[in-house]
Amino acid sequence: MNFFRSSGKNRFNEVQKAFEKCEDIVYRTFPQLDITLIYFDHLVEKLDLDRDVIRPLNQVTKNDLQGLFKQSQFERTQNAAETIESILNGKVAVFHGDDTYVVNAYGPASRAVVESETESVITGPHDAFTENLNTNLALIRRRVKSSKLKTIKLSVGEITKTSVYICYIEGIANDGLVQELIKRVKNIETDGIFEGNMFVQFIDEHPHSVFPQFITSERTDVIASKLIAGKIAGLVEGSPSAFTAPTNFFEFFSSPDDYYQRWMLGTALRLLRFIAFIITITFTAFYVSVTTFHYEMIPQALLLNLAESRSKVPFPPLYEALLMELTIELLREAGARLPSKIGQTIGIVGGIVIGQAAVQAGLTSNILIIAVASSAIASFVIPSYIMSASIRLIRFGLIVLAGNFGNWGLMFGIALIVIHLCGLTNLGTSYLTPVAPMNANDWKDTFVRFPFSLLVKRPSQVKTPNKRRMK
Amino acid sequence: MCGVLRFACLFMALLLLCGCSADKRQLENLGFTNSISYDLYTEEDNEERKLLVTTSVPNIGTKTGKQREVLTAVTQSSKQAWVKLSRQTGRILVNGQLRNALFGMELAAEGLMPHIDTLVRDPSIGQRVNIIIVDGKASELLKKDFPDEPPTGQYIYDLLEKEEKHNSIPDIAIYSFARDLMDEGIDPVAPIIKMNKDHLMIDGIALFGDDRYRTKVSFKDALIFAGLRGDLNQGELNVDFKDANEIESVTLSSVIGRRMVKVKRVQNGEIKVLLGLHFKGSVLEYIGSRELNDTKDIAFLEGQLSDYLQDEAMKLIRHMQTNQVDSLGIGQHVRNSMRYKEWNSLDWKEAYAGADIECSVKVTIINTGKFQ
Repeated sequence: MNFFRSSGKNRFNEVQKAFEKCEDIVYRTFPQLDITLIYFDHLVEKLDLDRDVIRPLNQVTKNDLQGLFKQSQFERTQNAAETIESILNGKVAVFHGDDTYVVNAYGPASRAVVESETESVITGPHDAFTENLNTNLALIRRRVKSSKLKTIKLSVGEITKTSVYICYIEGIANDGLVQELIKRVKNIETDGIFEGNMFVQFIDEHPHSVFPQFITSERTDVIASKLIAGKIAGLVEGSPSAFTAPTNFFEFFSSPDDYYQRWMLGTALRLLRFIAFIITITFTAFYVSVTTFHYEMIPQALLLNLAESRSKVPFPPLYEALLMELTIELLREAGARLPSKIGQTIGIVGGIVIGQAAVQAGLTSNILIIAVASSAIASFVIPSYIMSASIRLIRFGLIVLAGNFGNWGLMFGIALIVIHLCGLTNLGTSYLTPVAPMNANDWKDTFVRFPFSLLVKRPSQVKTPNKRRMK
Repeated sequence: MCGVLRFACLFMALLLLCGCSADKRQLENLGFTNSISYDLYTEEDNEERKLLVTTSVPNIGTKTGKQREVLTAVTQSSKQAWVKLSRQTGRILVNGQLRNALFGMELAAEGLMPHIDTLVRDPSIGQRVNIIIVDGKASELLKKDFPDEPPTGQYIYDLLEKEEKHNSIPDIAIYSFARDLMDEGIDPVAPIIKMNKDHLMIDGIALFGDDRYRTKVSFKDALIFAGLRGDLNQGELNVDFKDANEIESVTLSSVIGRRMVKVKRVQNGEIKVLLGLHFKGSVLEYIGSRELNDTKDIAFLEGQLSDYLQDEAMKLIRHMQTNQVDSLGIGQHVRNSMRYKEWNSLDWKEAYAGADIECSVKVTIINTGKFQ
């Protein structure tokens, strides 16, 4: 007997002690065989447990036991700590004399694979990741049938011990970037991680930036397509959001719809989203700046209407705009928290309050309503919710600058944003690739979406050793 | 952390102190001058000449029931007038939305330079302000309300923009006026408007020598004048001529005109200028005895038109020469044909009056309309 191995009895006691006061643990004994099973009832799949453990044990005689334990589902564990971890991971521990075995029967309750609510597309696959890591891996493997798809398992969180899988395609993804990502995951020091979007905040380079630096997606097809483009994907246990790296700013404006529709439509939609981006950050600010400082810029036909509707408002344009923006944000936040049935009420109340009453009561001008509403709508055009939320926040800063310094302030604010974006990096690559550093080839799939026959190269940002697609 | 705190303080300051800024131009507090007019003003018992400045400011909303406010001031200079005008209204008077600058004929004859200078120098005034000469007193025209039309300032603007599109008056933006004024090779022009009983009307084109009004071209000749001045892309031409003792009349529409200028030096150093005009258009109306289906008749018509237009053009050129106004920009072409030194030593104003300027007009009828 190995010197390091504790005796069977001791080990059993150690495990028992570890699970003291865990009243959801199950002990099951087979006295005639001198066997005790320990497992969490709710972590194991009943059918698997029955097939792999209970039924064989019921049928076997004491003499044949050693033969049974030679079957592959029984893994021998070396010490108590390993056994405890296995039980926590949903395995069944089998104590027999001096030996301990664990059998995998992991099957926790999880919801079915359903459509993603935050990233729905009109045409295209509707399956999205769930909270179950194995399901998520299966969804990816089902799409990428290649042995080159490598998965590295890591564990994060001192207490939660959350599993994280780093997936990449060997020969396409850059090894240096994979190693860098693994190093960062290993360096995370925290108690627990519960969400993919939370996870990426532990590994990004600029935690104080308002912009998300890793793109996350619940869509299987998005992650699969990014994998074959040479990016590295990460799956976090218990979260339907997977992330990919390296990420650039413009990725947040592309949607799988761009690829599933004809390329001209895809291009038009991309451009529409960039226009929406400009509208959402500048439209209200521009209104404030023009009505406060730059009356010269207003077309003559609009001037009198605008001045008339402004003349009924008692506040300066800055406060007027902040008031309306705040109301819209309140409505949005309330709508997001409420169940959808009550959410409709919010829509109606908001529609009446904002659309009609505010103007009639003389709180805002009706042209501001259009500005605020169109910039709110434009912000929802951006496919990534995290990015659109960031952009909505920036808008407030621009409005205040525009209200104080006019167009000069607006330009100053935009310059600050651009400077900040230029400084951001993701896994050591520039956040503004392919604009800075400039890469003309990448532009075919950034602001526009060229036909597939022209998209022959993988994006430069992934630093792939295998530049041409289809290899 | 300190940085975040500092940023938060700055942000709060921006929010709370935004009312303290003095250079704000909040829309509802402004009076946008739409039109401004300048006239000479002489009191009866006083010989001193003053400036009468009138401005029209559209009202916002329906607080007063009137669509616009008209302010008047009598001063020495146009900037002084501005101060005096502002004193009369509760709104901040601004001129960033100025559209029309009207000048009385008398004042125009005295020279517009100081006023043009004010208008061009102020950065808030756009380059597209219309320069307009009024036959009579400009302030009277601006004060008058025309019941069937939009507020007077807007009415003038709409009227002139439309006419400018149809080439019956030249480009009237202050940009072109100031540019031509500064250019030695061309003299500026501006439209003349006149008051009817209850409407405005374009009376013709004022021709300036330097900044002074000299003479005018009547509205009838406006298109020919436009054709002489440069290329045309659109226009309408009415021509009456005699054919076998009967007066016939042709209207050409969609007229495209091309101008060509040739400057020749004759042996003794004298300058000879050849202006070639080519008009193309379709017949929209024809009152006369000929069949327009026949190519011979069309050729005849083209000949008649060419002759008539050539006569008219020559009359115009002679008229300008006698008045010493080079509104066609012939000086520019002359300048381009010689060395700078030579141009410098040439007194073009003098030379222009006696220059040998010839004009030949060719008319092509593209089609003759639907009636066969």
